[in-house]
Amino acid sequence: MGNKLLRIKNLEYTLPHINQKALDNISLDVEDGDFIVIIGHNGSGKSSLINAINKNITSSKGEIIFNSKPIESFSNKEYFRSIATITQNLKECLFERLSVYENFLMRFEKSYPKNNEGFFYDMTTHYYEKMMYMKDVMVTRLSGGEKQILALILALINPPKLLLLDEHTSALDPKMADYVMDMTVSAIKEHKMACIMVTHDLNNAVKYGNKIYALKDGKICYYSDKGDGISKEELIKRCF
Amino acid sequence: MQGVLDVFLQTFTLVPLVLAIYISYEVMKITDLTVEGSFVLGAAVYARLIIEAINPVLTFFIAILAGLMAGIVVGCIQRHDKIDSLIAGILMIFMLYSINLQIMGSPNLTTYNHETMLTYISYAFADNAGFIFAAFYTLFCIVMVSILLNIQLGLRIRAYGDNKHLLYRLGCNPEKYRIIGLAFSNALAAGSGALTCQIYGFTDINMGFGIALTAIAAWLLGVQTMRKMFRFKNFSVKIDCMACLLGALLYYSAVTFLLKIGVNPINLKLLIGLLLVVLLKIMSNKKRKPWEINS
Repeated sequence: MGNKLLRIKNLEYTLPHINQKALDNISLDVEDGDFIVIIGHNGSGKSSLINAINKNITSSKGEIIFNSKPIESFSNKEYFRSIATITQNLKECLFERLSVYENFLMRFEKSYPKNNEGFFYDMTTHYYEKMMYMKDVMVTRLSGGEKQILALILALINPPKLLLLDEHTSALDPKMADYVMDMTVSAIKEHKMACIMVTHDLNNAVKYGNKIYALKDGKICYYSDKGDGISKEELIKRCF
Repeated sequence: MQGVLDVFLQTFTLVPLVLAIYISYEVMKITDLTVEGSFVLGAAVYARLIIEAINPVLTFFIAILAGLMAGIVVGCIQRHDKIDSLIAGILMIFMLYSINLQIMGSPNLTTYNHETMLTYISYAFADNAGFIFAAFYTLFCIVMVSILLNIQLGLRIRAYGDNKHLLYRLGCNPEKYRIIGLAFSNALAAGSGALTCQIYGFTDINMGFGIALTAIAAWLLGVQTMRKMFRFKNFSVKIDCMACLLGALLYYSAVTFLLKIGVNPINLKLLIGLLLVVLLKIMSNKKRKPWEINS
């Protein structure tokens, strides 16, 4: 039994303008080294859950506990150093009008500017060599896949304890999606992070997740810790 | 020759203001019209203190500081985007109008017979003291802006203009960078006002009328021309500062040209507007179809 990194207890969130519950009594534990996959149809509350963990929305009921302290008690700096998010919408993870290297610099705390260059080359050669030659290119000029890889590399500069992935491969072509997914998984193993992944790709869900949660209308409608060796077809039947 | 020098002199007095607009409008993506008020504020403070016979160097410094304060105030008004930047700027112009009148005590002041920084410089360079001072001050402003935007603080101010939310998530307080950026921008504007007062020897409560739009026009003109010339794609402080200088120069060249060919001053602004439209049209990429993304 690993250490409990994140505990979500009876979380509820009501959408303010339509008075409808986006999250309804959600409870979920994340332990060290977990790879949790969350699936569900559109509007089932997956992104709301990620947003709640990310402090983007305030829940109306229930609590989220990180490292045995409620998340409200953390300062932003502390909290977002331990939790990194990569979403499909890259505008949330990148400074698009800054160059690739300047995006790196934004993640460093103090030492600035020249001694970081070596670190930049180390990181890029380790994960994606092509990025090395794009040092001064503005992020808007990168392709979707490159942006996604950059967002991942940036998140790994100060490796977080928990990585949140919100459909981060869904806008990529199959080959690039596989590449990004492999890279993500190897990084997770390398830095021993826990991960919560929201996805529509059931192949990935079955392949990588050690716990699978399915959401429906804001409630957890199915849970598997993979002991039952569930297949993709079975998952579709049960969850959609 | 004197005509050319005059054009350059006018350009140099405007450049700090164009740099101010560049920082707020382009780097921070805030439509801040406060510069129109802080331009007069700088001039008013400068004229008043010169008349009170306070040391001119100190006076110039205080005038810039006054602009800095105006920037901090407008930054606080805009805090957390609760008041739109455009409204905040307009309200600031209203308030500064009264403040400027209070400072000046009358709608206009002259500093002809008083000792200014130009008096010192004219001991060494009798004829072109104003020109030399303005040129040095402009150079100083350009160097300051280049330094600011090349250090980490500047990077964060640029990041503020790009993605406030992410800046917040990285543990920086975006409001801090908003205030620093606006303070710097308004200090530049006040410096421009003080410089104008110093060179022309008078301050008028209406001297800032439309000056922010002039500066925006100069900035756009400069940046379009530079894009055409260099086709630069990445951010570069040097090129942007050059664009400010070039834009102001083009603007005042147009004004002087029109006046030289005997245009009635009443129609001057209309013709400048038309001339700028034509200039921008000529420089825009003709081959580009309207539905293509401009890059």
